[in-house]
Amino acid sequence: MEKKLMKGCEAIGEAAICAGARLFFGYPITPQNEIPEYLSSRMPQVGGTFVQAESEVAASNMLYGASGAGKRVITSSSSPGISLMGEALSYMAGAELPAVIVSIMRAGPGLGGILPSQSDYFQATKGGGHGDYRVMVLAPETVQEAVDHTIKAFDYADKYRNPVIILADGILGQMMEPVTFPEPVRPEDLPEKPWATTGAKGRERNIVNSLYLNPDVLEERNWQLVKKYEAMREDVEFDTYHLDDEVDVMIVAYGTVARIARTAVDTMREQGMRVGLFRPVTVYPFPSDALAEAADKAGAVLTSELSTGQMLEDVKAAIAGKRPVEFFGRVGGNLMAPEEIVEQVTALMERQGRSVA
Amino acid sequence: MYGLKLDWMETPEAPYYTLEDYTGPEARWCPGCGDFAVLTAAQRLCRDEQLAPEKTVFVSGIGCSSRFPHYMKTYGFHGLHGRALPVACGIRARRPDLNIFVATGDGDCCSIGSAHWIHAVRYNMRMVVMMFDNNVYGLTKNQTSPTSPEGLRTYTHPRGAPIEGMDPLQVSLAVRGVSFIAQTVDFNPQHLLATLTAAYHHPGFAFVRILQRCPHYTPRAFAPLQENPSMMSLLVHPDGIDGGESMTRLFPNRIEHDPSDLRGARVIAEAEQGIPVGLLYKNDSVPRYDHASASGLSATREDRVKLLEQQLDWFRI
Ligand SMILES: Cc1ncc(C[n+]2csc(CCOP(=O)(O)OP(=O)(O)O)c2C)c(N)n1
Repeated sequence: MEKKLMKGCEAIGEAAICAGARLFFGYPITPQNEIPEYLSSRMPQVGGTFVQAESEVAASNMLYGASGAGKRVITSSSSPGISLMGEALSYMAGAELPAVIVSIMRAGPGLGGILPSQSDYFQATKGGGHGDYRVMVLAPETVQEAVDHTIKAFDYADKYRNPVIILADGILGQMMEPVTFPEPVRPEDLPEKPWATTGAKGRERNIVNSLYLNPDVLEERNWQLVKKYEAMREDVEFDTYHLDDEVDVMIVAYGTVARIARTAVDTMREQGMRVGLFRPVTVYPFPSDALAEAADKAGAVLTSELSTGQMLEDVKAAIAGKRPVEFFGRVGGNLMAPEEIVEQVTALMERQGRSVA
Repeated sequence: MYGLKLDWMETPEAPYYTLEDYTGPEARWCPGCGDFAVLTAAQRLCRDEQLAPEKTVFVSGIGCSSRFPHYMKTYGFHGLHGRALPVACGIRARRPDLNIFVATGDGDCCSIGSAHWIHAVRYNMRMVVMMFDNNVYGLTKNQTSPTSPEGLRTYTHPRGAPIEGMDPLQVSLAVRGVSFIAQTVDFNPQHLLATLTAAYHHPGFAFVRILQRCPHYTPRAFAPLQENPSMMSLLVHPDGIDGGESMTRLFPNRIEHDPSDLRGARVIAEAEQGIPVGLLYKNDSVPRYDHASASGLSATREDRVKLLEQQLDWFRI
C-alpha cells in the first residue's frame, strides 16, 4: 500500500471512509475542524453525506437516528462539544446502537483553551452521559494507529452494538505522519443489521428504544449490558516498551504522553537505568490484568498524563496497593518534556532508595 | 477616573464618566473587523447615558464577537457557546438594577443557541442584544453559519452552502412576545449608536441585528451595501430611530414605517429587495418575565411573614 503524508484529523476522516462509513454529522470546534472539513469534500466523492448540524446536540442525535437505520456513522468533536454529546451517547448505549465518536481533547474545564490535553479521560471511560453504561475507548499514539483504530472502532461498534470513542489529543489531530490505508470496505459488503429500522417488510418491526419503566425489566437489562461490557475484555489492547525484564520504575502513559515517555525511557536506558513503559491502548476496557502483572516486575510505578490524574485511578485500582504509584501531569495545554519525565523517575527512584545507576 | 472614594465629602459630586472609564485592554480582532465599530458605539453609549460601570454587565457566548466583554471596563461574563442569552436571563431574573448588554454572533445565537434565542424573545426580559451577523463562523475559521447565503464557499461547504440562510429578523418577529427588533450596520457609526441607544431605552428585550463586516472570511458579504447604499432601505418614522441629518444622504432609499405595526414589520423583513435598516418593531407594553421573577425583591418584611404564615396554614392539622 502506498504511504501518504497526512494530518491526524484528515487521516481519521479517510479511515472512516475506508471502513465504509458514508455519514458524518458534526459541528465546528477547534482543534478538530480538519475532520469535518476533510469529510465535507471527501464524502460527496464517495456518494456519502456530510451534514454540519446546528450544534453538537443535534449532530449526535442525527448520529443516533442514522445508526438506528443501520448505517456506519461517525461524528467528531472536542471537549465542550463532547460534553453536549453525552446525552445521545447515553441513549445510544441504552438502545444498543453502534457509532464512532472521535474526541480530540483540548484543555478544560469550561472553555479552557484550545491546546492539547488528556483531561477528558473520565468523560470517555466512565460514561460522559447519565446512567450505568460504558463505551469502548481506543487511545491512539501515532497517526497510523489513529487510522487503524478508526477502522477497528467501526468493527467493535457493530460487534458490541455500542458506541466506540477514539480518544486523542490535539497534537495527534494536528500532527502530520506517513500513513497507509487498508483495502476499503464497500458499505454494501457489510453484514446486515437485523435490528435496524430498515422498514418492516416480512418481519417483526424494530423499535429503537431505551425506555423501560418496569424496574425489574430495566434491572435485567442493566446486568445484560454489564455482561456485554465485560465481554469487551477480549479486545483489550496494550503495548510495552522495555518491560521484558525487571525494572525499577515502570511508566504508565497513553497517547501522546506515551511517545514522550518512550524518548525518556531511551535516554534513561542509555544511562543504564532500569526503566520501561506500559501503554494502555484500549483505555476502556482498561488492561488491568496485564498492568498488574507488569507491575509485579517493577519496583514502583509512575503514571504520567496531560491531566491532574485521571487514568491514575485506573492504574491504582489495577495495582491495588502492591506497588507505590506516583503521578506526574502537565495541564492547561502544556506538554511535558522527556527530560521532565527523566527527572521525575530519578526522584522517584531516590525516594525508593534505589541507585540511579 | 473614579477609583478614589471621597469619604470625607458630605455630598460627593456625582461622577462624570468619560470614555476612558469604559475602555478595557486593547481589542484583538483582525484589522478591518466590524466588531471595533460596535465596541466604540457601546463605549459611547455607556458614556452618553452615564451608566455606572459597576452597574453594567456585558454578557457573551463564544466567538470572535463574544470577546466583547474583555474589552469593556464594566462587569463581564464570557459565557458558553450558544448560551449567552440564558446566562443574561439568569442575571436579569434577579437583578432589575443592572444594565445588561449581550454580545452574540450569528453562530452563537442562531445556530447552537437558537432555542434559547426564541425563548429569550418570548420572555422579554429587559436587556440589549447585539447580534453580530457576519454570515460566517469567524473564531473557528470559516465554517458555514445559519445566516450564510446559499452558495457561500466555506471550509465545511467547499462547493457552497447548500441551502438558503435564515433571516434573524423574520424569526424574531414571528415569536409571540417580541417587543423590539432593529437592524443596523457596523459601517455607519451614527446609525449604529442611535440604534443601540434606542435599544437601551426599551423596557424589554431589545434585539439588534448588526450587519458586521468580516474582512477575513466574508469580505464580500456587505461590501456591496457600502458601495451601493440604495440596496438598503432606511426605516423612518417619528417613533423610529433618528440617526441624524446625515442619514438622508447616506441612505437614499427610505420607507415610512410605524414601528408599532407588527404586520408591516414582517412584510418589510420578508421583502426580496431593500435590506431594512432601522426600527422594525417596538411595543413597550408586552409583559416581561423579569417582572414576575423579581417580584419577591420588593416584598417587605411584613409581606414575607404574611406569605410564610399562609404557607404554614396549609399544614394545620
Ligand atoms: C459547545 C461548543 N461547540 C463549538 C464551539 C466552537 N466554536 C466557538 S465559536 C464558534 C462559532 C463562532 O461563530 P459566530 O457565533 O458567528 O461568531 P464570530 O466568531 O463569527 O464572531 C464555534 C463553533 C465551542 N466553543 N463550544
